[in-house]
Amino acid sequence: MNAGAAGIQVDVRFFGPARDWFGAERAAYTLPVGASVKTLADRLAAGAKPHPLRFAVNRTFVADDHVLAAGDEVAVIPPVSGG
Amino acid sequence: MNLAATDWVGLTDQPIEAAALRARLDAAPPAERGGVCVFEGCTRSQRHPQHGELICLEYEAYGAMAREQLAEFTRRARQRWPIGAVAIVHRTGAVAVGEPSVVIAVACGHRAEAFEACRWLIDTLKRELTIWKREVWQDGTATWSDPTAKPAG
Repeated sequence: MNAGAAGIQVDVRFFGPARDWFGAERAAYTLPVGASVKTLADRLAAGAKPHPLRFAVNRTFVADDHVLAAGDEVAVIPPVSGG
Repeated sequence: MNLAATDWVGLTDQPIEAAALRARLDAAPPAERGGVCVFEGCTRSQRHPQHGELICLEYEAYGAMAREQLAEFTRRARQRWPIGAVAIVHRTGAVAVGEPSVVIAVACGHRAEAFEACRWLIDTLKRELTIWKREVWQDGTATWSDPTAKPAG
């Protein structure tokens, strides 16, 4: 794979009900260099899911304009229901 | 990501021993634990019109993130209240009706701040902590709990 042309690869993890909505626990996505969380959210059609999703990068919640880096672990976080 | 020496947070897939968690607060000097507040959140019995009685709640966590969050919550609480010690544990796996899924124990010099800090910790945990639960019913059906569908509890 030519990394320069292909962009960056991120490790996307789906939790709770999001696992059912996306039919996966984890998947690798290749995105253009400079891609933000919003780029990934659009790719996932996140806005079409039953509940609003939040995103965490490397275990910290981030805003949609957060720029992703190669190898980031991106968690798709549906509304939490602990306690 | 360092915790104060008197604080402890964690996840467990085993039944919570609330008394043992409470005992961790004794790490703080007596002057800083004049007021101790312990909150337990337990599985409520419920009846589903189609699926029958609730058997248990099944919790799953984004464990690596949840542990870091619990540590972060205790640090934020310490910025707001004069806390002697905090201990928090949350369950993963199946929690039967009547059993605790979360226990938060807070020691402060006086009761007012112990109550306030404990209340803030459970409210923050319920809003932010990366844990999800499924309701498992008598007929075997399991449904994801919808936190947006009913008042927080």
